[in-house]
Amino acid sequence: MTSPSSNARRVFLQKLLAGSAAAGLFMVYRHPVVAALTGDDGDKAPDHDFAFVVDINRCIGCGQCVRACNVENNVPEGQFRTWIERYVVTPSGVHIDSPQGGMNGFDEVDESLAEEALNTFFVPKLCNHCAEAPCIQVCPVGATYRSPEGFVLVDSEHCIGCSYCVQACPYGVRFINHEKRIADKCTWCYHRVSKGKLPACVTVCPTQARLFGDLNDPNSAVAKVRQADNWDVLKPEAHTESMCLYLGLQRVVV
Amino acid sequence: MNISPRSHIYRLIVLLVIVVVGFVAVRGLAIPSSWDSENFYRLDSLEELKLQPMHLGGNESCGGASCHDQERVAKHKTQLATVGRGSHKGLACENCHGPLSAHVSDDKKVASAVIDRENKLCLNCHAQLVSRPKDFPQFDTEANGHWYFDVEITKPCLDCHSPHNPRQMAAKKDKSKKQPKATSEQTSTNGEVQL
Repeated sequence: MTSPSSNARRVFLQKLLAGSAAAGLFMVYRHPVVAALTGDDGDKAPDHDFAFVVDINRCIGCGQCVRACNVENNVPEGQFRTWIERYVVTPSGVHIDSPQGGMNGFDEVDESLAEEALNTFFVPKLCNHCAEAPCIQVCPVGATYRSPEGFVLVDSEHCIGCSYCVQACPYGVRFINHEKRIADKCTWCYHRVSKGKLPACVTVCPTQARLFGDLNDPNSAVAKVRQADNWDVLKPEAHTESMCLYLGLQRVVV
Repeated sequence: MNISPRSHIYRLIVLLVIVVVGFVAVRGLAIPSSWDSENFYRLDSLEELKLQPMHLGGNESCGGASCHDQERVAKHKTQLATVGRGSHKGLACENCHGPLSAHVSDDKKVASAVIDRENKLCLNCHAQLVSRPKDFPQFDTEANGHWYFDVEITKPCLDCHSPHNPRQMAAKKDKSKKQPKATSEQTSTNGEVQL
């Protein structure tokens, strides 16, 4: 009854089934559930998840943060890792200025502009340390990355200065350092935070317009801001999962 | 001497081995030793970035266990206690007195801290700007008794105001020295983190 051909088919199907099962097992062996069952904690969540809060309602535009950042990080003259923009919203349009990044504070706006102003405020800017950072995606050599604690950093030994990341950043926070000839950006003062200090700009801000902390610590100021849920991020349409939460952010801000 | 009829095969195998060994060697040299192939970055760069020297110490580097809160420099200790009472107590010392790295190096004083008594320093924060929050104190010739004394913006602020406690007028300064030392610590309240 059994012909050699039908027997071969049965053997083939059995082998196919076994092979599929083996491949399926191979694919799920690193699944979180499997990892939990087998005690494999290789993908354990990091201890820290840092975030930054900028409170526009508190910023007085004194420029201390910009000066502190430039001193702390030896940023070349004329370049900025953080800066302050002044927005003056008038019926005829929006006027934005940032003389020397707001480093030396601001002079009063023209009297005519001040009279016309419907609304005016300062907006501090810095790297948003995006969870889905476009700059990391475009780096061709892996010189920029997001550390397990949430810092988007540049490996200065590895960067080739191609400036793809400068173009990819929707927030314009990256630049090519004139002196080092490589990509440069805000690090949230990684070197300070790793020693238990706050970023330089947060340390010097006289009005607590800048906050920094760990979202995993429910008592931290940033965790409370996130819980209060009245924050916004810059350019939410870019889907960068920005980790800089802005308070009092108006839609006119770009 | 007979040449093997398969010599062309052997030559090809030798060439292949050279190419494979060469590729593996070059690849090994090109990829950094601490490369994380899963997250695509050099793990050593994290440690390298931590080595960057700090220039700003924060207020804890001035007070606390540091120089300006020790008995042996009683004058400093008194001054720091005075700062802790004033309305400027939440500020960073380095905002006005310059970064720590310019003042102290290897736990030794290398230069005096900056003492800037110019109006420009005060007006950096307190000049009247339409963009500042309305509840933030800004210089106004009409307000705070300035109108009474005909105070113009060119008059030195520190003639009347104590820089550490600007709500206190300089005329009352002698009285403050007789007050007992305050224990309130001045700290930056912007949040605490430990990596």
